[in-house]
Amino acid sequence: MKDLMQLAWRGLKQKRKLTLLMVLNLAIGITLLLTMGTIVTRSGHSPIDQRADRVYHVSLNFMDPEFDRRSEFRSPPLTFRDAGALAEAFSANDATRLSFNYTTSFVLDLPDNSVRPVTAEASAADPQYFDLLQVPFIYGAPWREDMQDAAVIVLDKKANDLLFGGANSIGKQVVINNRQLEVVGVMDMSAYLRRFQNMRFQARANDMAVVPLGYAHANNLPRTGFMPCRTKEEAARTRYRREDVQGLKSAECGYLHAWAVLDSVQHDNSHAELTLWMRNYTQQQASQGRFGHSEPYYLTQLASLNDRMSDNLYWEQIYLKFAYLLFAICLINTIGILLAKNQSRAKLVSLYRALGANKLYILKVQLLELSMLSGAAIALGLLLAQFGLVAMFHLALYQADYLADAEQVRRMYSMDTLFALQAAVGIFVAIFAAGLYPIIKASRTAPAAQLRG
Amino acid sequence: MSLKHILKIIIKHRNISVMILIQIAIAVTIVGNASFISYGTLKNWLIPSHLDEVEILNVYTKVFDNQVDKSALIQRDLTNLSALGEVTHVTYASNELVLATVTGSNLVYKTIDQEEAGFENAQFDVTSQGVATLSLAITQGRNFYPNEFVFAEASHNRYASVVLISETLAKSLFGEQSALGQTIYLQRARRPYQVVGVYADKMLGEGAVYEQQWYHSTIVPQAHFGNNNVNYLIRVKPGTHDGILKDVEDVLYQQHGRIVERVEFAARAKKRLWDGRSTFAFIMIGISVIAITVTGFGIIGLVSFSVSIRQRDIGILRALGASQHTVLKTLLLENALLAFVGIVLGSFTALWLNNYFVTHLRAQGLVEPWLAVLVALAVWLLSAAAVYIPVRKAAKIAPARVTKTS
Repeated sequence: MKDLMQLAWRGLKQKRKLTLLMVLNLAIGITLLLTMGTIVTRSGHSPIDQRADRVYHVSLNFMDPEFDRRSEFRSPPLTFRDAGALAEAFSANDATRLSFNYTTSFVLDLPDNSVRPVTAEASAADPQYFDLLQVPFIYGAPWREDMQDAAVIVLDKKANDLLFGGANSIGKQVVINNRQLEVVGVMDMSAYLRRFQNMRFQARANDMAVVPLGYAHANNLPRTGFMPCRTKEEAARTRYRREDVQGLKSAECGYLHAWAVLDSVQHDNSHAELTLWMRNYTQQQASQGRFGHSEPYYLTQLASLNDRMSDNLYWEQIYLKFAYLLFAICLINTIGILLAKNQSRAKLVSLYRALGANKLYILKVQLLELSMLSGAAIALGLLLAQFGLVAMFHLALYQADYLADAEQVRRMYSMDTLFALQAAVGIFVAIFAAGLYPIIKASRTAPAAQLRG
Repeated sequence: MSLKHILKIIIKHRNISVMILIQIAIAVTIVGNASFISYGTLKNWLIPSHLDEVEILNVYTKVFDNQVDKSALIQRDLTNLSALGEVTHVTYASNELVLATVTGSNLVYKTIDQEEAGFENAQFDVTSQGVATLSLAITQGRNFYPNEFVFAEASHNRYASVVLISETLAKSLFGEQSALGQTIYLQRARRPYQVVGVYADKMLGEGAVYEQQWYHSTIVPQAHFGNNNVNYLIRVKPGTHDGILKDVEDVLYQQHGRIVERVEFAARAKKRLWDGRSTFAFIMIGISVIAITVTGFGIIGLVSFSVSIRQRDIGILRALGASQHTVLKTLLLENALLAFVGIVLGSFTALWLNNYFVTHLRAQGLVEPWLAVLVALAVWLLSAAAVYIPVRKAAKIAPARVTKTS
């Protein structure tokens, strides 16, 4: 083995310029491929990937028969009464844990006006929201189950930094619409690349605060998310968003997103049970003139939504297609360079053969040499891809006019170790496959055939 | 040497020929698509705005305290902002800001016919200094009279009766007819306004630009208040520095119960309008440049190899009396044939991929025939240049070399 290694190493050093050209050529292709591949792959990830296959968005389609859903991301949120029926049906079911939220927005201020107020994109949610997202807390904890109507709030780290300079703010007061709320927790949402909880999957910013759902209803915090209404209620939609929360509770307007976390052991049973309930409920409601749509309910897995998210990155998908094409050019170049290199050292190979080296030996030396070359190119490509990702991160911030949460965007443009390893193996195999033709050709050199001149 | 012989050589060295051909085809596919997609974006990007982008400020504020008297607040803000040394004019803007459409779409109609589709339009609802703030040059008709301005709570449903429109909008609505005295209808409610003046075009509306109605705009002497958004347009003296942004913010923060979301030059709004699409275009161009470079070096490498294994053939040719020029011509012709096939193949692949991008990935890259020809020509020139370097060397092979090796 040692002599094989020595010969392969010597082979690398022969025609150094060609060796360097080959490594650089491959590294360029690998850099682009890894950079674009990472962005597309990362966009479909969330910190709860390990349970994304048992987290479901629950939608009961109360809309008119002609409603066009367009995509999974536009499944109608629940109306107030459907959400109530769903919550009641599964209240005692430990294998199906439900969480409800609606998207809101408000201005956070301090009672003494000591800092400038902050606009907060937020959620009104139940305490199960924190279990659903598995949000890490820096200070404090979620509010208790019995505090659904209490004037309490959980701030994200960003809001806490702006209002309290990052200090422990538990027990302190903030003001929303002239009403004071007590801070009970400070969470860190920065690991979340997308705001999936309201089905928007925004990459630029996440919830800056979460308030109890009961409090939000009682104090009429506006509903700023996707809120489809049946045609007969369409005219009142703006009113339901900001003013008439009592009217909204009996209206055919969806605004509550429901998520179900199914037990990992009883997943199939829980899924079947939830589906059966949705079917029965919509059929039963049909007698009251509701759920006339041909698709009366949707149960969408978070994992499949994450996958779709990657597909929806249109520009990045185009870059990735181009990266594949460029990599193909680089592979063809590799074949060309290997052929040229082998041609230039045909005499040496011929001499090896004349001295007794069989075809398999030559093949082994060349494969080892190619492995070394590929390894160097992949290592260089991985290094350059880091710079590529930094460049794409800055471009993304520029594209967002620097209004996006830089930390959230940075995570989207960070190297994914698992993906990098998988891609490296794939690239290695591709280079190997491409290099086989010149290597086999070289191994067939006849003994002493090239030694005449 | 005849074409038949060249084809025979190509077939004899088919592996290398195929590799060169595929490289060229892929390069055409990448560069072609990048050109189609980038061209459309950059063409729009270069349309002149006719705006004093660094003399107009957009101010976005939100009043979150419902107890604040918005009418008094606006009057006070207008007075306080006018008092700043660098500010020359200021207007409350209850609808659009410059290249920033704050509220939904603003349409303009010629009739009250509900079937009429209408034109996308930038509708600026302003107070008395609105026309001066935007520095509009009235080319036909007149400016507003002071008594034509309406300043009212939105819920009171009081509207102005007159409007100024841009030259391009006048042309879109009335063709060669004079727009003066005509009635137009604004927004989906189709409220009537009489045109009293026409002004020189400026690129003003974000929504309008998005719909490629670059210069469609209207100025309405009405300012409604009542919702949370309380926005302003400010004109500052030429050469005013960025410090004005903080000065404006500080003045506005004197009032509690409001948040100043952003103060920015119109230039920043314009950047935001294009930075997404232009970045996309520039990345595509960057990838094309890399593809072209890698392909160029690839062709040099492959042709060098191809020539090196044919040194003996070339030497025989030279020994049989072929001049350096003939050898050079033959090799260039051989590679030109390969480039031609590669370009044809690449053009078809580029068209297919373009169709895929447009239908599946929402790319806005319509095929421009002249651009396709330009790309083909550029790739052909590149391949010719890449081939020329090794081929020139090969043509210099001495006839004596044949006798030596044999």
